[in-house]
Amino acid sequence: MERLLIIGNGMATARLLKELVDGGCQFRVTVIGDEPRHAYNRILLSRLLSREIAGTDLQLLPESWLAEHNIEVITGVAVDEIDRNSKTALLANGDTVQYDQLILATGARSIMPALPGMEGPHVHQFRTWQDCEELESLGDQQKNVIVAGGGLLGIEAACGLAELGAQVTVVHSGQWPLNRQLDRAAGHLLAEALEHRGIRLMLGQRCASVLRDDDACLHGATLEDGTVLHGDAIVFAIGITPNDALARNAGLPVDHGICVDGHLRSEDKSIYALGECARVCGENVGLMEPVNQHAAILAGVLNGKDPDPWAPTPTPTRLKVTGEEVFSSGVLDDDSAEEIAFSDPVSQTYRKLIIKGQKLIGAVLLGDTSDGNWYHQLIINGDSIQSVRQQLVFGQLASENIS
Amino acid sequence: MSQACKNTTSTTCAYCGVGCGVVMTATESESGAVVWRATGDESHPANQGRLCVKGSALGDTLTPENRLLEPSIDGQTCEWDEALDTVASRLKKVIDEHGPDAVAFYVSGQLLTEDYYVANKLMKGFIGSGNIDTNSRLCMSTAVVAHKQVFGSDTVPGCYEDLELADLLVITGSNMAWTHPVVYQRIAAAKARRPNMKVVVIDPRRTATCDLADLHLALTPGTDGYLFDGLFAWLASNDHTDTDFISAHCENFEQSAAESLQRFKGIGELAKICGVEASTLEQFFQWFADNDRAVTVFSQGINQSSSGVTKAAAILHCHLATGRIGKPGATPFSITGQPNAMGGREVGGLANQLAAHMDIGNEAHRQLVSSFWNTDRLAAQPGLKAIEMFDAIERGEIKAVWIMATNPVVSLPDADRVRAALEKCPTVIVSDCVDNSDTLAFANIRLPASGWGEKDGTVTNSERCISRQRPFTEPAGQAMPDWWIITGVAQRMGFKDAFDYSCPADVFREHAALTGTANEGRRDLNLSALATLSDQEYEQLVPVQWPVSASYTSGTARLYADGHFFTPSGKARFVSTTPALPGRSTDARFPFWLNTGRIRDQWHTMTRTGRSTRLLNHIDEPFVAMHPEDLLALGLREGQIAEVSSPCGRIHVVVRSDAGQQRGSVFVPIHWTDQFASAARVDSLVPAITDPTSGQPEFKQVPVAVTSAQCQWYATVITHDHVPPLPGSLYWSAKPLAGAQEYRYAGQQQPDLDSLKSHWQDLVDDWVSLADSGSPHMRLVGYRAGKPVLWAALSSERVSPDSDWVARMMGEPDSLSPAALCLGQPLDGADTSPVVCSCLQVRQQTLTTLIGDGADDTEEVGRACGAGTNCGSCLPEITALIEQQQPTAMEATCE
Repeated sequence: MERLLIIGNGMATARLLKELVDGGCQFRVTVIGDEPRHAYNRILLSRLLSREIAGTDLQLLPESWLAEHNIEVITGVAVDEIDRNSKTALLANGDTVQYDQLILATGARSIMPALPGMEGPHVHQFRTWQDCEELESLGDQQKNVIVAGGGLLGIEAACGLAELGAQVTVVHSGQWPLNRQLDRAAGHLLAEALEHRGIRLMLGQRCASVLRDDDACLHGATLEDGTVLHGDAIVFAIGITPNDALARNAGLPVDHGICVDGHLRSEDKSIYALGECARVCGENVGLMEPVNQHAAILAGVLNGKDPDPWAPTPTPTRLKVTGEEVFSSGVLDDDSAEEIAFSDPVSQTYRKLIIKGQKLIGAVLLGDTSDGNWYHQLIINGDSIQSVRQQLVFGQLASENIS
Repeated sequence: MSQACKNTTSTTCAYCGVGCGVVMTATESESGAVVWRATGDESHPANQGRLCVKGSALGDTLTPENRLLEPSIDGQTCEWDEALDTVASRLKKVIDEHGPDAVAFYVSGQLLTEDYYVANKLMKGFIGSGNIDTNSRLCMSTAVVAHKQVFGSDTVPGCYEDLELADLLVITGSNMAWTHPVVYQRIAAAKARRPNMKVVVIDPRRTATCDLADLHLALTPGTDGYLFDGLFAWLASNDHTDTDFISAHCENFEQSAAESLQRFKGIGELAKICGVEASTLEQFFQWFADNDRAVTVFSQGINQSSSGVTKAAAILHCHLATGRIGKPGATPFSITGQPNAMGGREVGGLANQLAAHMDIGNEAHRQLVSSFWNTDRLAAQPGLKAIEMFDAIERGEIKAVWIMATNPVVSLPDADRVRAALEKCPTVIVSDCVDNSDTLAFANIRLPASGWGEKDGTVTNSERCISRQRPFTEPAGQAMPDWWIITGVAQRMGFKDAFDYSCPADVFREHAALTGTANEGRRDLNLSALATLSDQEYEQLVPVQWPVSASYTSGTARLYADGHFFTPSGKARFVSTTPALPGRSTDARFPFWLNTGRIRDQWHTMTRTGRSTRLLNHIDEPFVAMHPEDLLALGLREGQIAEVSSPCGRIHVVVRSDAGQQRGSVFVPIHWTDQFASAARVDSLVPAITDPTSGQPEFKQVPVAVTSAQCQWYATVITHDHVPPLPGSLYWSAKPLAGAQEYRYAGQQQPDLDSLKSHWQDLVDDWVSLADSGSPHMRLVGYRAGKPVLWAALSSERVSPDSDWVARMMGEPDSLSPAALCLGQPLDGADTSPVVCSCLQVRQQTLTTLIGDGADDTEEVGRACGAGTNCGSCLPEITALIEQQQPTAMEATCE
């Protein structure tokens, strides 16, 4: 039986294992991860932070399931090096593991800018369960926290912290939070809602330095315009970068991720990569839907099927903060497109649909996002929406039942 | 709801001339309010328990909104005493300075006989002028003149039962399926029992009435006079006449027949004039010849014509020549429009009548009435007929006019000129039960009159049946009965003894006594058996057809069976019936014939029916119905706004496609006023051309132009509040909903979202909005204090929400999301197609589903969903739906 080694024990790996087993796995599988826990649902960390759910809710694959399928999982150990000649992985604890086929599922990490004062305690990320526990303690101590970055992760961290009682300031380079996912109107509505939660927003700003006293104790940050913010800790959520060093060091082609083809195969025929660490056909991914697509294709390849190669499709994004439902899909900025905008300040609902050539090409939903998937499907299908144009903004039920 | 019965009253319907008996039952709603429910009176001979949709909705119209509640003089409210003093003194001053002909009363077929009697008595008997005329001038005066010319008296010889007994029923100039639904239902039931009964409908339009037709003559507008003159000639020349009857009971037959024969160039030529197939015409003539039991029902299509009297007389000729008069199932039958047009005629409410079917020009009659009324001032000359009256007002010759229970600014022809005339008139007195009629705007003195349900008296229907209208509610505010108001003024003008009435029964007894005075069979109208009714007998009076005299104590179903007419010779007179085309003809500038009339669920100028939401669910906007190919030729689409214009004026109405219209001929309903639409008073298009003898205006054939109003946007607005029209709107119409109003707008330059918001900013705190940069579609829901108060949608075409549902949601906090409300209809798959059955609120989609599932006749549809089982007014439409879906089953009944 060939040995399949998977490096990295995150959501991509969990999904891949499930797909492999479902497809009749013929490998002896070993998974090595540097986090101390079995794979968990990282997406739910923000709700764990705000204590809406318990840790057990994050579990992806029960240990019993892993045992049942003879999957060996090594947790809390990093892999230092891959020797492609001997098809061996060298572990941080000195062990070596042989493989016939190797999967790299090392994920991504937060970008930590090289600012003065970054070295030292109280500079955080929000990627892992451990990060979450650290933020939880900041919140519980009602600390004054600066969150750098007003994208999905930054807003989720800020909301979770604020929920626990921290004083939160978000520093964001865009003119409104989630400026990649939301149009101006939705962004301003979200900004209002965040401020209503007690979160301070510093928009159009970046952190310039981390301020520390003589004891190297963090006490704030300066912004690029010279503003000084006081704070007990900083969380960086300004973006992610693929964990591709292991591949690079092994001599594999890397370009903002491990370069693989549509079947997730690298230049080395026995090495594959998927998820956030990979650059598939020149595309990086950061959302669950394409990662799941990767997993399905790769499982097919490994199980000897001949799946269609992966190709990028528009992927909707959602903000995972209870009470701040945000959905976004497709094109937001197109000066030649038409827009249908529904604005409801009464129940804080906003919808914008972007239409071009009588087709839906983009959708932004705030508040009630229940029709998000339906809009997303319309965007992908590209059918004419003209016959339901008046009802479209009211969602699927209205559009399909009223003509 | 507690169904505890508080009260039940038998009365007579307020609407059409069928005069149905209505039982009003009071129940208490949950909130403790009294809710009135109308049901058909099974004991009433006219309807035998049936009721049409308007009658069924009578309870809805008893709302306190827009009632005129207190008298006022020059804008200042006052006590009745002061109001009556002022009316009396102003009338007296005008009379003293300018003579009695400088004052006028313009009254109404909506008045009760007792009101009418005292109004006529005051004007003709004591002011001493003939200047009292009535809106019956607009609908029945032609029939009156024709009856008098031919019969010597204004007598409808037959009764409703004749329509059921006929083997051939000719319906001409009447869409009775909509205008007289209960009579129509009686006919439909009779035809169902006796399928051999033939129905011929003569109407330029294919109306709902044609559903019953074995033959439909869609004749060229205005040619019906030629048709009946030709029929008369054909009957005479083909030996289809009753020579015994003619020689015994008629005069002038030979001359009249010779004249008609001279004009008659054969069926082929006549068919060309009338625009119908010769074979169709021949079929009709042959049926008329073959069926002794033949009834010809005629109404406004005949009457409202510049040659209406000759048309009506030609119809009477055809019946006289065949001896088909006064016999069961054989009679001409003039069906009246209003609940008491007949009562008005009986008391002399027309300017050229005197009283009690006596003539102002007849010296003996004048002496009789002078002596009966004990007056030396009796008018010596006929007064001015309606159109002449308003011309005289315009010229300043009439300086004071008292308008009672009618809305001439809407209903008279050349209505914009009527408005201008009233604007100039120094003293305009208006008695009405509503505070917002278009006419009331010109009143110097406003007098609040009791409305239906409050009034006490009698009415006479189309078959001469006198019925009681009984009160069952307290008058609104200080409203008083019209007879009381008129009497109060008469007393203050110095005629105390002649107007010493304490109740309507006093007035009725006097009226009945006058009809019997020196009658002895000389006059058709004789109520002498009722002249001694006690107050209690009057209260309990059961419906009775006049004459009611010593000879006919329990009334009379038919007259003239004995061949005795009320001419000096006692014989019916054949007269000259030279037919004529309409007074105006179409031309390149005004190429369409405009026809006007009623729709099924509205009454007159909507002051009452416009209060009932369910009556507006059938048709809720003023419209022009046109043939689809005419629409195509004009580049118009259904739902757009059209401008319909004549040399007199122009209106803006919604376009409806109607294959029942002839090409080149359009129809606009008469109902919409300035209260309900921006510019939809169709009578502003009608020139004041009248029949030379009857004075009845030609409402049915008006040359008009139809063009697109070039509207680019259409808006629908629903709100609790009455809101001013949107700026920039060319067109608006209003419709009441339960506790809310619906407005529709249309215009050329589209307003933007912000200007819409600012227009309503006083009503609204927060706006929920929808805008589409790629289309004109926008929506708004306005919230005040967290509750929705305004719903609006604007687009390039009309957005049609479920208005009743939106209205229910208005003012409800948190009942559903703003988005769900903005959508304008519930999303539980509820049907929002048009309501077909107004009574049971059954919508079209329900019906089409049932029909699609195999319900192939109206009975089955009725069993399944109830539609059509209450009033039956919608049965023609249900039939049409069935035929639409099952074209093979359609019988070739209509041309």
